Amino acid sequence: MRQSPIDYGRAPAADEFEIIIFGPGYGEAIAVHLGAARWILVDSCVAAGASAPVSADYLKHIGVPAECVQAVVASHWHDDHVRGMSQLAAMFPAAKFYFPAVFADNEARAFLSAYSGEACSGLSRGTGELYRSLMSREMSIAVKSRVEIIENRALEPAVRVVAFSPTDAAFFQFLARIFEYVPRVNQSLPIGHAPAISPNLSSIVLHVDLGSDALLLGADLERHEAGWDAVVADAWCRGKVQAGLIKLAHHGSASGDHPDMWGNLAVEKPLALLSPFNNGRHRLPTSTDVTRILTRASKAFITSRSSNKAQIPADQLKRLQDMCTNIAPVNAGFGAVRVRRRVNADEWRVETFGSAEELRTPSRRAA
Amino acid sequence: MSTTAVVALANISTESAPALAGEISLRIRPRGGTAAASGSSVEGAASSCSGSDFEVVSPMPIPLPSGAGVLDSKPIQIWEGVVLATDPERAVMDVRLNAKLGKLPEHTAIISFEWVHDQDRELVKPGAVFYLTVFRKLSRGSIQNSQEIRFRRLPSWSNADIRRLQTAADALASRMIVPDAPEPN
Repeated sequence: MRQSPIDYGRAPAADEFEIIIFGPGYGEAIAVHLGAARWILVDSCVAAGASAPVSADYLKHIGVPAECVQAVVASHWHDDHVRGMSQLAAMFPAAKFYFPAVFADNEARAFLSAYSGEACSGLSRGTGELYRSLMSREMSIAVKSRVEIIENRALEPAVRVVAFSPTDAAFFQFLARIFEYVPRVNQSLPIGHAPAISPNLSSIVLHVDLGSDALLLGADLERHEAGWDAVVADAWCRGKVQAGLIKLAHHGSASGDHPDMWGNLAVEKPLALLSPFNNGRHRLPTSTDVTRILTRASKAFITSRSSNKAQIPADQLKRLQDMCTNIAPVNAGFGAVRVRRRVNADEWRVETFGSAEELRTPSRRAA
Repeated sequence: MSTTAVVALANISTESAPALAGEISLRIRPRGGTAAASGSSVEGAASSCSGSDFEVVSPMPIPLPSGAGVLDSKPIQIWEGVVLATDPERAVMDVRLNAKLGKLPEHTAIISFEWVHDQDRELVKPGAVFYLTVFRKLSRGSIQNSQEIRFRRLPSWSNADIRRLQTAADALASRMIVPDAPEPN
């Protein structure tokens, strides 16, 4: 079902920070204005019925020239975070392209190449998008914990973007897990599909230091000794400005949460943003997740909520129901949450677009 | 695995798409009336359809595209599916479905293993690609609904494939910078 185009209004002022998160139901993309017309784009998704990545559409809509984008970051290789990424990589040639350092290893590069779609199409859209993105650029930069991505000295104090992950331990965990999926000469292994590697330890978590406040963009990092446990225990990470605004990791799931993330890396009761994950029976956030998030955040906003109403013509749906149960649309509605704040202001101003809404406890929502 | 359901003919419109040249099709006509389809073919054995005001003359070759009134077999929808997860205990798979005919949003669903052909059972793994085709055809006085799931069977990696992917991996290496990070405190 196509929704009417969203009017996003004007671009932020030079002295106005902005973070906007987009989500169609399955997918996530983020754009951050670091001030002085400098932007970074993190991850990519495409709205239902559209072909261009939502972040590129957004910047075009509010009148931001392509050369204002300084960095495009692929936080990880999962399909719901990289749809349209190869287009972004091509549309912003002046921007630097960043990817998780786990793919800098020879085995991981062979893994990416094997599941790029060159040998057999449709094996994994995620690995294919990341592969095409990297091959379309002359040079891309591998990111791991403690690497600085951007320093914007146009503002005083300077705005700094650094990576909190992936950690060195995650690097080796990832290699150990993909080893068996890399085809070898004379092995006669059937061509397969890119495996789901869980938990996600290879995501790039970004910290954006705005001076008196900070953003924490959690990507899809999950709880593990090499994941959130390592990040929250790292004195270097804990020494950064605590975040007043968090993009929750892994769609608000319990596995993407860590109690010390709230205590060590964020201020008390920060503002939280998230996108949902609708994929079969696996839907996030769950009602338990919502309750947990709302006890820890001052307020939380989600780009869209899930819907179980199939969007298929009645005659086709009836036939499909002969074979299938739980038929539900992947993208239940596209939405975006935008948060802006003047450099010297104290509070963030939240706007919702499309299907986005404030997260409510299940009982309040039902009422 | 294919299955068939019988649908009362009276519910089906005779305004179906014309048959393609060279296909075997069926003709339908009001009971006791003249055949709706044009052409000079000889009618085959008629089979009546109880509870209907129509009878079907079946089967007969239709040599050229014909006019209204001819029903034939056609896919209603072809779904390209990807297995998201399997649940061996409940013998079901979570799938994502993408319509190949027309423009429909992606959907997710749950399908029982019972619908998977025995020859394809070993292929049911997360990430596997299949095609779910839903047909409607008219046969011997009744409308048949049928559907089939077939999994895509992939070849083995050839040594040439592996050499090519190693070349691709090397090409990626030449396009990557790995900056140093500060030492741990």
